Amino acid sequence: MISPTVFFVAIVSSMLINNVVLMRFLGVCPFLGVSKKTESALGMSLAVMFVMVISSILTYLVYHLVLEPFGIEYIFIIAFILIIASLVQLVEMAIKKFSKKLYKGLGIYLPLIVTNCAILGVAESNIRDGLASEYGFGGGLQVAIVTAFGAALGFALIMFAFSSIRERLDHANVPESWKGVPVSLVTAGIMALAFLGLGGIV
Amino acid sequence: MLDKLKIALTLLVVGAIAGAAIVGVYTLTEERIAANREEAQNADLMAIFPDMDISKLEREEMDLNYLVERMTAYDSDGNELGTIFRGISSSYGGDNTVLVGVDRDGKIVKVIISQTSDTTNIVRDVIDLLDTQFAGKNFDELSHDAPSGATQSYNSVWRVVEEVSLQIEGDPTQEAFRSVFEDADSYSVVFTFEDKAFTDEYVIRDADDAVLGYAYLIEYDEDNEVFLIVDKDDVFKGFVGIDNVDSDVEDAIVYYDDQIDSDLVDIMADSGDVLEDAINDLQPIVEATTRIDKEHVVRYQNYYDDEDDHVGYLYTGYSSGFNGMNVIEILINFDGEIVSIEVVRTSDTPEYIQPDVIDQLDNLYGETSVDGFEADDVFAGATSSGRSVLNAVGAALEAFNERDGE
Amino acid sequence: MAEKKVAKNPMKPKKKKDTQWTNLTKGFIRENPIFVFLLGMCPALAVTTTMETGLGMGLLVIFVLTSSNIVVSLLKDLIPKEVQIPAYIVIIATFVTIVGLLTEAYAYELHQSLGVFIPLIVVNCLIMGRATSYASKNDVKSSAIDGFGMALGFTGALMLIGVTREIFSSGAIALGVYLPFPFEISIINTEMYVFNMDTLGGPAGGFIVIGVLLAIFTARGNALKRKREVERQAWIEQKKKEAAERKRKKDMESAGDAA
Repeated sequence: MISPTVFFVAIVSSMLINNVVLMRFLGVCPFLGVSKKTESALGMSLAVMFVMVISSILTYLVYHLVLEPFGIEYIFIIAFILIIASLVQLVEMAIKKFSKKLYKGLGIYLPLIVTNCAILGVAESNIRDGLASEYGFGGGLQVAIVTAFGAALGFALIMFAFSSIRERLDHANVPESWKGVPVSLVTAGIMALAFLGLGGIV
Repeated sequence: MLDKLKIALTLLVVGAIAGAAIVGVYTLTEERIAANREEAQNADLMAIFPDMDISKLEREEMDLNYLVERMTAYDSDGNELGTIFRGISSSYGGDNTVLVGVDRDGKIVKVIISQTSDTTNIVRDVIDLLDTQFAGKNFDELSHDAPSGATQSYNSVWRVVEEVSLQIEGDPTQEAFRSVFEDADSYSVVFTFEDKAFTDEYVIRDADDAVLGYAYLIEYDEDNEVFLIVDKDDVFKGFVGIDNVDSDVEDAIVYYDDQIDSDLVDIMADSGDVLEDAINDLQPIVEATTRIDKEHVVRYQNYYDDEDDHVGYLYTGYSSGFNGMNVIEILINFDGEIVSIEVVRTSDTPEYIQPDVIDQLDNLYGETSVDGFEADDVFAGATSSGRSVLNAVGAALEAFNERDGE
Repeated sequence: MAEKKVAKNPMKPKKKKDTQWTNLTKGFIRENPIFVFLLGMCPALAVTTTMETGLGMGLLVIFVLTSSNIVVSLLKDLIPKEVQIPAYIVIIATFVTIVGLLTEAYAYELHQSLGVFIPLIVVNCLIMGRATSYASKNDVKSSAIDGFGMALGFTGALMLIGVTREIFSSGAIALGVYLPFPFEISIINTEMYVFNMDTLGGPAGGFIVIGVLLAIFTARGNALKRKREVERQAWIEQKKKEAAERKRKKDMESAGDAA
């Protein structure tokens, strides 16, 4: 039985201390591309959360139940990216079929997720951190799910915060050549500085 | 249909070629990768003893709290350079693997974090400290000084170093017990006395967890600590000093040597010092009570009422509450019913334990089991104090039933 | 009539010199993947703490992008449109796996320092982008050159970021300032960094350095645009003048005829 502290620490650390965007530089493309409006930022975050948790489960299972027993861990890149790509496709089809409203909200973000390195990055780091050897197969899966959820929360937090900042930046008097992405990147840098300070909390 | 077949076939062919290519490259690079990985692991070891001949390294697995491996390093001429310990200790991000190199004089050569799951910039704060805090020092010179904001990472290193220190310097308590019981493997404090010449009561066990004996910690004077040791049948096994005691303490200990192996209750105590007090304090306890090897309850004694009739048994239970150890005496009659419960000593806040726990205890009187009681219900407002009482009461009832069955 | 020098029409696209040379060089500046298209930002932030790691990542991308472009172009007629994307994913992932194994075998240090960003080459939009938009439509030779050139531009950008960060972080602390950068302080003049340039080597530095470099790139692009705009205005002025001249002449002629 894993103590609740492990889960709590996993969620705080993957959400804030090792924030996917600001500390691990994963998912920077959607961060720059889709964060212009709060609404679309939230849509993207929801879609990412959904796919990240499910793909973490699937990649964990495939790695430990298929790749490891056969001793072919080294093809994990192909396996993982195919899992993620087909998962996104499936999710897209399912959402389209069952909820038109949800599809309208999330549909356009789903294809973008395949190339979101946060998904693959989190799945990979779950494996690399050796969760299965630390907590046992089942326990490792639980921690992996919580970590993925925390990472997605961290992504959503940054997307939301950043889109709010950007909506204001649009009205700020920024020098011509700094408009748009450059000033956003510098803003993100300052946010990253702030997040460095969270390092000591656990 | 044909189209679909063509698609499937194309994917299959692409996949097959891709698979073949990867397997080809993998077989080509497999050995080199394995060699690289091992070299990278050894790189940390080499950093500790640069003159080490890695092929001469002797590895030995360990199974302690943190230490997992002990390696003896030799140079190319076969001279022993020192020992490297590998320990794994958890931090907030996961496990940290720590290497501690110790030279032949027992000095720390280097402490290295060879693997970490913690955030880089936090670990960096700790790594910066490793050389100044540990390298080149003796174990008794170390001081725990965690950098702010990286306490967990630092502590994970500290725990490993501490355990290495026990390995190198030896654990004086364990050594003291070993000098009496050769098979002593583990020990733990089971009870703490107040107003006696001794404080902590230790139980000493062998590798199979069977009880070998008991020890009572006596503070002889400010600098010296001595154990009064008895075996499991309360036969006196003498006094043993912890670490190196002063020569006059040594003399005091030797005073009792000719009485070793007599029953404790028969010992003549007349040395005129704290050792005499210890024996005098322990004799009545041993005489009146029977020991119980059970969590939360240490001993029981026959209980006589005012008319000197034997009416039941009085169990001495203990359990940690909110603040520290609580000691509880439980009186159980021959029918196995609780007659009374008394909290004789508590470290918990009096305001909590008084109205919320002690006044509720009579709810338990007449019960033969505490299974139906939840600390949250019975002692609302003082749950942890209440739970500690329930632990002790439950253990006493269990001990009573087990005794009955004999 | 005297020959008069006529301004070139800047609006008319220059005659496209579709040589392989422009195909190779287009990714360097004009279509730079990082500074113009903002593709592959994750590695650009993560592995550019020093120039060497940037260069190393660049070399891997050169290998993967050139090879995947060649293979995609070779197979372009064989792969049905419906399964283009999955097939490309498999191809790219294969090359990434191969390059990962090779680096681990022959450049272990690089492999360790790039870490998760080697597998993540597979989701680098630059590679998939070139496969779908160029290699699947062009012959093998141009695809190879296109991939190589684009990856070269990517590498150059990574190195530029890496050099900047390395100079400002370690250059100020460990090695001393060995390159005379006159604007060292003025470029990052907020109070925080003057004292601790080390920050630029950390996470925050990645964002800030790229932001600054991007602004410089944009400023250059804007300057070019303005210059072109000025040229265009001048050309329009001249055309107007010429038309007026012609009209005046015509009027005079018709007046002469009438007279």
